[in-house]
Amino acid sequence: MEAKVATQAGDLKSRIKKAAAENMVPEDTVLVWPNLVYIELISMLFATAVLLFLSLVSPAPLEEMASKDTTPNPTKAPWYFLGLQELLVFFDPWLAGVVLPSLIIVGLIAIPYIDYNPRGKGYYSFSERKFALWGFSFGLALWYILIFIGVWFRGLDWSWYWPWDDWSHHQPASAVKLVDLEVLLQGWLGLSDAPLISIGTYNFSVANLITWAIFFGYYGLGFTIPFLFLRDFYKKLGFIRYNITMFLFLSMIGVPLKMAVRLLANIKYVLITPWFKI
Amino acid sequence: MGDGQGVNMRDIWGYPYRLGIGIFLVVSTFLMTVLFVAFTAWLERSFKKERERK
Repeated sequence: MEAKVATQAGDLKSRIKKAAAENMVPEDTVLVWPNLVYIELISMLFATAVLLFLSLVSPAPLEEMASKDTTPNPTKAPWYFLGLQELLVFFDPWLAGVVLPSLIIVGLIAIPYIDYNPRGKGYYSFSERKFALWGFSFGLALWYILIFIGVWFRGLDWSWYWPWDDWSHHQPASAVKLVDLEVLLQGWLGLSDAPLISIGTYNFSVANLITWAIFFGYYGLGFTIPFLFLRDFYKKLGFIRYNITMFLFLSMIGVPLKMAVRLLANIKYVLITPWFKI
Repeated sequence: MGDGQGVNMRDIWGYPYRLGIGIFLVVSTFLMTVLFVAFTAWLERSFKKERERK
């Protein structure tokens, strides 16, 4: 009973705070014109001046005319696409080039529809929007790190070069082979690669089905754990918003996770489907 | 793990540097995330101070 009263009091307090933020008295507000527009205009001029200065001191890295006799090695995309190019090392081209960029764009477009938390509107707030800010910061950091790797650590043949390596020599062939999780499971559990189920022309072995279970288990657990233990989070978002948020969040976390599995455990693909590999 | 093909991982820091790249990726992403979040927390605090001053 006491807990219920305390919760109601807490709700009331947060509702008053929210109402106060949304209905500020006119004395606390300023007009868009000229107050905001002036600042925006000055910011725009300042940004233009900075860009002009940067482009003068550091010209665009344009190369010579393309020639079939001198193919550049490595062929690097413009810096802002190098994150995508780096993803190609770890993912199927269809995933790295089509699915992941689409998810990023659709996810960013979806944010205003998913995140309807009124806190932080009209004033800056980190403490009331922790999940949103941590999530977004993580995605942004990952994107920058991928670009950073593409710009500074990829040399001949798209091999990894540390700054102290000799960048003029090709790196030796890898001493450690990458293995698919399916093949590893077959070895560990003594399973054959004979198909257990066939759907049309597609065959699924036991090891392959286990990798499907691991893949769906990741999303399944990711959807279920917050649903069970963070009830407020689920209730605030509602069924549809919760599922979209968790799908986008888990997919974002899944990208570096898959990369870490490849780098730290030498597993090439976690899941092999007839259509694509993850 | 993943070393199931009889390959001797004598030098885990040698090429293809997978361990080094893995650690770099995880640690640098984490650090940059913390940096961004610290910046947002700092912004919140300074804006709050500014509001209180008014």
